[in-house]
Amino acid sequence: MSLGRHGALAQLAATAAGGGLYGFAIGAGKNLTYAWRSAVKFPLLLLGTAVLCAVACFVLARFLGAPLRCLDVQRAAFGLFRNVAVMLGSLSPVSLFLGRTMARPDAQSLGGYPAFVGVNMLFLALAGSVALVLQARTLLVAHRVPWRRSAAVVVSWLLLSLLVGGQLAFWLRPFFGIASLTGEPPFLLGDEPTVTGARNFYEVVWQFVTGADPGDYTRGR
Amino acid sequence: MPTVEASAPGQPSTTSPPIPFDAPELRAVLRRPARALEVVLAERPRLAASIAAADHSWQLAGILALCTAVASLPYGFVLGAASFWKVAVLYGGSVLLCLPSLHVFGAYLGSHLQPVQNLALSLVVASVAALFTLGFAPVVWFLEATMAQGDWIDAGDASVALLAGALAAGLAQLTRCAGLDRLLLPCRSSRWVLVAWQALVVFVALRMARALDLLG
Repeated sequence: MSLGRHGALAQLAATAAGGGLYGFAIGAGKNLTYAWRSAVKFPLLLLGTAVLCAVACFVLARFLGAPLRCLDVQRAAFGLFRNVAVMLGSLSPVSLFLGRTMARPDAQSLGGYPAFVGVNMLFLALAGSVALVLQARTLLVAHRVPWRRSAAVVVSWLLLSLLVGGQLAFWLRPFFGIASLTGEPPFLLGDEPTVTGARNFYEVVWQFVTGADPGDYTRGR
Repeated sequence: MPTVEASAPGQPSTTSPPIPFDAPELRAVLRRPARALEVVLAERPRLAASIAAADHSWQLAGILALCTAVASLPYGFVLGAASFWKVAVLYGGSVLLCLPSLHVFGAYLGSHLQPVQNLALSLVVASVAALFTLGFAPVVWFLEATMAQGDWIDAGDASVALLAGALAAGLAQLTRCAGLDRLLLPCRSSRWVLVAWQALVVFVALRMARALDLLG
């Protein structure tokens, strides 16, 4: 189970390669500019989330009673993201194909764009769920953590990663290319509002949950 | 260093009772601060046994207080250089304000804990919450850096949620610790005292957060 410097570099390379491939595929649905940018941004999203959550993951693991060392936790957490990246990388040919063959958005309609985003969200959920189960099993076997406890640890990591990764994804967007139907797109939109006025991930979720009408929004500044 | 064999952290041993931390172990936390995570978060049965045994209560209370003060600093600095002390005061101050009520009501309703034992018990809440804020500090820094101010949900709201989550973790740890040793919860009424006291801590922490301008 020991992972040397080369092992860590291999993990990093696998995350960058898998995430980069998938990023390229989803961006290619729009054009090559998006493809290359998403190829850079998607691994950044995965690695950035892992780094930002690193300390909190360790605290959560110890709080939930998993007898793991800090290094074990970092390995497990980064392993989770590597697995997600590799699995998404394997789905990149499908995403590339779907992106290149969807009905193009234009000034009148969004074409096949919503379905394309929906399928990719499904891919993300699928890869995340499988990686979650795998990591829980790794914790269970390698560190002799009881099943329920390891599941609790991994679920808490997933929730944390979702909350942090969601905001990082929002900040790094666009990945798919809808942000600018015309003109040169920015590398990232940061806190620029969406078409519904949301300026961060949590507002997007809030709008979705409350079913608020975008027309109702008036900006407070 | 005494260890409890055949006992996973967080699980009471089936073969022998948990051994309280001794003085060298507690002093070791000062040399290796990362060990505080083990003492406060991971080795719950031993923490509960240490509070119940009352052999090194002042030392344990000191470690927990130090842990509260130090672990909450990064989060405080993220909130602003002038606010670096606020998180420590939020948690430490709230439980200290409520400490007399825990001791008095506990004593009336069947607890035989000394004031210093109740102090250590209270500081479990603050130290666990502070350790959680240590983990959340990079997250809240990132949210501050990427979430625009003045919208429906901003970094201030996220920070409040994280501070509340850290406090909830501290209260959960207190409940779990107290449940591990009969001396800490000798009778049913002690359990009710603990529940009511936790509600009081939440209320006071809310007021404290407002007073410290941490609610945005």
